[in-house]
Amino acid sequence: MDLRAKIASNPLWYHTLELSPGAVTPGWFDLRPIVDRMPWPDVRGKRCLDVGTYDGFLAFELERRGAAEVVATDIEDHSQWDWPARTRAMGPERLAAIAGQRKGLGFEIAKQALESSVQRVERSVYDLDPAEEGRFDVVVCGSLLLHLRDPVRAVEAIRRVCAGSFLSAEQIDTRLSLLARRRPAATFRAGESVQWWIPNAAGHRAMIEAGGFSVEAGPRRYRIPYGAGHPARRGPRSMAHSAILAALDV
Amino acid sequence: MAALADEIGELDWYHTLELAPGVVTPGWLDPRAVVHKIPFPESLAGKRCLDVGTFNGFWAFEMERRGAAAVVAIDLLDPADWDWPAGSTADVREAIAQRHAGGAGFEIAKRELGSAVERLDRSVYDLNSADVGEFDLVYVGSLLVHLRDPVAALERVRTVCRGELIVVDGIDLPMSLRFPRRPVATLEAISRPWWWYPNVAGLTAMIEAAGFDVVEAPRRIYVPRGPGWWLRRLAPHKLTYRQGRYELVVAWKGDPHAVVRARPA
Repeated sequence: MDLRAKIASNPLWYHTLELSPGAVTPGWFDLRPIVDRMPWPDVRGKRCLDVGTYDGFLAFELERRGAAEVVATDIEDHSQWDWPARTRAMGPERLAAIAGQRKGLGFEIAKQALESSVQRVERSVYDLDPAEEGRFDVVVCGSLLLHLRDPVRAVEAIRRVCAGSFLSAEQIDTRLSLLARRRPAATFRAGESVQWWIPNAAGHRAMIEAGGFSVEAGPRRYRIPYGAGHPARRGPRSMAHSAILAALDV
Repeated sequence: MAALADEIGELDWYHTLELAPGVVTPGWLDPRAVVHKIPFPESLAGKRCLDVGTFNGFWAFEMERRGAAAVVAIDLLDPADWDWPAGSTADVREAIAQRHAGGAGFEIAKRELGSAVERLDRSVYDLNSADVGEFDLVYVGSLLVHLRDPVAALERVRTVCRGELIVVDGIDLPMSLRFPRRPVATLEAISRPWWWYPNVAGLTAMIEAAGFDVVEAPRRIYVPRGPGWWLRRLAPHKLTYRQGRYELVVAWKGDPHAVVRARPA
């Protein structure tokens, strides 16, 4: 199968990835224009972890930036999402109808095409454990916390496997950032579309600190444009995000 | 009587309770003034009731007084098991543990009131019907703000609730006024086990997300502070910062809460 046919074989691409010149995945989100605006730590020669990797954009970026080793984690199947009580029974099936049964297919196609040596491990962020994965000099986590019912517990788990820097890049609520600028807060989405808490910029920072990190740089704000595959795309659209570089608070 | 007064004097009290005529515990909050605002069913006769996070037991004793057939109250007696944010210091932990005193206040109150409320040392996160059975009425009061994962707690409550749920929990008043419909919550999580302060819409949405239907429009109430909550110098400069404004509201009206009545969906 040639690369274009492989790309077409994946029912849903989350990330827009250029797998070879001209062969671009039709992702929901295109991080390429903003990736350099994130406050990256120096990853050269470091052991790095990407939490909630999906199609692997940030994991491949860590590798491209010179990481010595990159591990990428994600959950195994759709039933492991934090489904709210009302959609728990039907949600995984509905998601499978859109995204395909297997979550790791896009990552696999991309890894092969990019000849990457990123190692993908199926593990929930809540279950990260230094006894299993070891510790990492740099951990990145992008657009994951909004999907978690208990985001601070996830940050605590990341802290357990982080020995250096943590780059957290999350969607923020711009309206809440404007109307309650200094107050750490979040819009509660009640599990709708498996989204729970969308913080303002101060709230994003408070979650990271409550999990045991101290913020070194950021929040830096930017807008992630929708990729070609996003269903809501009608002309250029984007979503506000903020990125924080944090270190252990010890 | 003097002995009881001494016993009361040795503890920090959370609830203001009248244990004998004229003998009142100096509580942090005085819920007596808002009891009539809580939408308890007309009669609790024959009902099995649960008070979640009972502390000194005010609401458990109130349900018993209203004729409940049985009242179970749960509390987490060792504060080390509470949801502490990273970076909380030993002195803060000790101060709060001392205020809770391993739940000693409940025992004194139960004895003095001649109550039959059964208290269990359980986390709300561990509630399950095989252990504690099911309840016709579950009361959750001033607890959710102390939890890192309030929706998980409400989901556990859902598993033991076969009748009605009454939640009376802390809210963020300014966010309730500014955002009447959008569910939001303020995150504290600094040093002490105080986490999400939702607005009224946020508290309602949390309860619904856990699998309940709200059956009555939520109401804002103010739980008056008791003699144990002493606020120093209520000066105008308190208007200039958030905690100061909160203290002024507490002094003026009481601690902002919302009352939500719900049933399993």
